[in-house]
Amino acid sequence: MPTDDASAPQTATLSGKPTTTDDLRAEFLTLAAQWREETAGYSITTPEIAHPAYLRIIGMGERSLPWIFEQLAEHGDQWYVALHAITGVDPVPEEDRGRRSKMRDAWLDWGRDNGWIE
Amino acid sequence: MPSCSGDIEFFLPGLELADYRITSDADWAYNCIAWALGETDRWWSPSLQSRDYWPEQLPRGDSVENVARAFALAGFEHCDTPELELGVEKIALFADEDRFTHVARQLASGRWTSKIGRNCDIEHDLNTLTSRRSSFPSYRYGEIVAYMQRPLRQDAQENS
Repeated sequence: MPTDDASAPQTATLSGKPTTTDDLRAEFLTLAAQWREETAGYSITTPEIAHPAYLRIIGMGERSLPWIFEQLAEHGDQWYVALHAITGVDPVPEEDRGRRSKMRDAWLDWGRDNGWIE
Repeated sequence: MPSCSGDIEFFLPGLELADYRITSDADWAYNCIAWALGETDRWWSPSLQSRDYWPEQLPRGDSVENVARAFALAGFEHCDTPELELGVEKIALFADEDRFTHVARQLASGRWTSKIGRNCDIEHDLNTLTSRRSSFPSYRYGEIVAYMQRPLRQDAQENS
């Protein structure tokens, strides 16, 4: 369940620099686009998820979940490690591992059931 | 005409002056391991943190040895050269030091086919995927470290 109000006008970064939710969303979108472009050629997961942009997105924590679900719905891609890292769960049945469309559907269902997707 | 997403020649600079052909659109549903095994609907990943598929008989880990074990489960065994042989399907495993990075599959023509991550499939010469240009992205396909082979399957012949 969301524990924070994503519409709150302000949050703060670790550096102490105030930033709005809109700023954070803009940063997320920049990072996601950078990550998608620079990792599209990787054949395995380790370098994909070690990319600085991906790690920064994980570092945003639960606030990034609605935007990750948007990316997942629109592009697919490798968001499963980030989702697992942030939420601590994995709703994908064992038999569907690697079946990316089924993995996406399982996560989008979980996102709706837990209030992260309107 | 199929198209890649973005500039694959930036990621694989050896392609810049090479004779290669894009043979599919970008597709996030399968990766190079799946493609080498003739699958287009599953993403195989040995990586420790991965949530994708890896054979349950094997531990997770990106070592070349571990990935070679997965291919051995599918009937491949190590061989010495990439030379084309009648009735034999060959693959080439790439690694950066001991860390597996990529696998390419030989076609009946003697050329090779690769699925480039979440991007497209290409037909290429084997040595065009090993060149480096810059330090970033620092982790590319590295060098060819092993060849494996198995008897050619009927469906592979049809896809060659």
